[in-house]
Amino acid sequence: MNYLRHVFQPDLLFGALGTIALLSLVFRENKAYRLFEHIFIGLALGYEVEQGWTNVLRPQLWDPVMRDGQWIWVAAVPVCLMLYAAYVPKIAWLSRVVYGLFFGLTSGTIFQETSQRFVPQIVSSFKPIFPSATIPHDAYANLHRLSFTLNNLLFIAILISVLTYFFFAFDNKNRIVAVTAKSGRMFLMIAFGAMFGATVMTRMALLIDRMYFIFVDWLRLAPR
Amino acid sequence: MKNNASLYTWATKVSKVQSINPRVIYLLLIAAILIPLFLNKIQYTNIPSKQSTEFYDTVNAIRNDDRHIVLVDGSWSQSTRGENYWQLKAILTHLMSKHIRFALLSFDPQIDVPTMALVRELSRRYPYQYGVDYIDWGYRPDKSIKQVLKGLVINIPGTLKSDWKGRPLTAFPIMKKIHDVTNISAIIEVTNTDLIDKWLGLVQGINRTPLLYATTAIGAPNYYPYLDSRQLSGMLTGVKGAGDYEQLIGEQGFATRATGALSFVYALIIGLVIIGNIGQIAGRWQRLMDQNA
Repeated sequence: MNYLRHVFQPDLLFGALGTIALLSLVFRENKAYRLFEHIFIGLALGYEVEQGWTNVLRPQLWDPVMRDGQWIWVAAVPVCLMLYAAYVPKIAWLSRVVYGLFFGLTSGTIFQETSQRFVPQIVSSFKPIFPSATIPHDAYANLHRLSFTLNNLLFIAILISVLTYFFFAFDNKNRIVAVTAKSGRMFLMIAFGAMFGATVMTRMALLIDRMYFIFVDWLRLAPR
Repeated sequence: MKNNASLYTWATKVSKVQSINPRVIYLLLIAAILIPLFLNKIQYTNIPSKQSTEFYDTVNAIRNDDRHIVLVDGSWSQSTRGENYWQLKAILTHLMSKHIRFALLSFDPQIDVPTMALVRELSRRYPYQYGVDYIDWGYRPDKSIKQVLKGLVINIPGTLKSDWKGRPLTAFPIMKKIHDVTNISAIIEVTNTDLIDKWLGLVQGINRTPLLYATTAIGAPNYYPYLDSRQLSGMLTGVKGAGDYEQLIGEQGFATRATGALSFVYALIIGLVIIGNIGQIAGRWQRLMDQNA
């Protein structure tokens, strides 16, 4: 009796039926799949609108204006409405004022973001081939030195060959340049293969989670 | 001649594996997942990856005083629950077992409720009080992330103002000495998106705050260079990363079992790739023999 009560618990039952219906697509397109797809889209949209109001618009705009009397925030409304002027050719220039403001702000932020993200990458690309210092009393000092050198040599070789592959400014007729560029392409293919493997890993992890939900959390057929 | 005939028959039979019904493969896949779930006594050898160990070591080294908190940004959605939820659970278990004070923040509207439910569940094991030991700064739309992050760097209460229930942040004891990014001892980003780029560009670089990244396996490859440049102090990759973390904190949860199931699935996929290639080669032989006949 307890087991049936658990299995027919509305939230679990609805979650399980939704999972089965959505997975059923792999066998064939069907009405149950379509039904749950639309339920999901509707729920997600409704939830997002509710969260947007509860967590953003109400505390940031509605409450300060209506409850706390901070009427200065009302000044933002005509500025926002200026964006819609783009639909009226005569006053379309009003929207460009706001877009210009956005472009300026975004450009400044992106400059900061890009420099702070990529400059450390460029700096860390300059790697020494020979280790500068070793750990005192390291029993495997020679092995560690060799591994350091090999790792960094490999890094530099891949960096140079991949950069060479992306040299489009001149024709790669020189044999050394052509071979380096070709090896760069091979390294890129290896990286893409690894990325594809990671994609498979994500998809499988999601399927494992759903199977766990159905067979362990819902049906309790497999041990917890 | 006889050899050629038997080779032709073999090639014809083997080449048929190329036209296996995909539904058979789906069933095999589900079987490969279910076997380790049902046989949970199977012991798997899992070696935590270097980036998972670095993640763990960074959390272990966090200063625990009233002037600092850890910021946990959970910006994922239910679509990647299979990876991000278990990562978040392992991370929060570690933080709460060490009684490290933390703040939750999200740029995805779906995550506040499950995260708070998770903290309440863990609070039964590790007593945590809302507003004293942890706080939820709530959801902010991802479109506003740049403004929010730039604000956090200089003025946290002034930027966020209220918690997830709309109560003023300054009213909570945990926020008394928390003013700006210098009061954040580590940022933990659990996400299935590229929001980490914004954290790297607008926050981490300012104060060199340790930034830890828990992401889906599909999102991880792009961020390995950031580990090399030490911009990221550690990374959990997919459910394997969650399994590593469970092992490092001495827990045996879903992720540990899922890591085992994942190994079964990989074995199946490798097997199918090999069989598929043999079938393809056999098909090519068959066509060549047809042409020569």
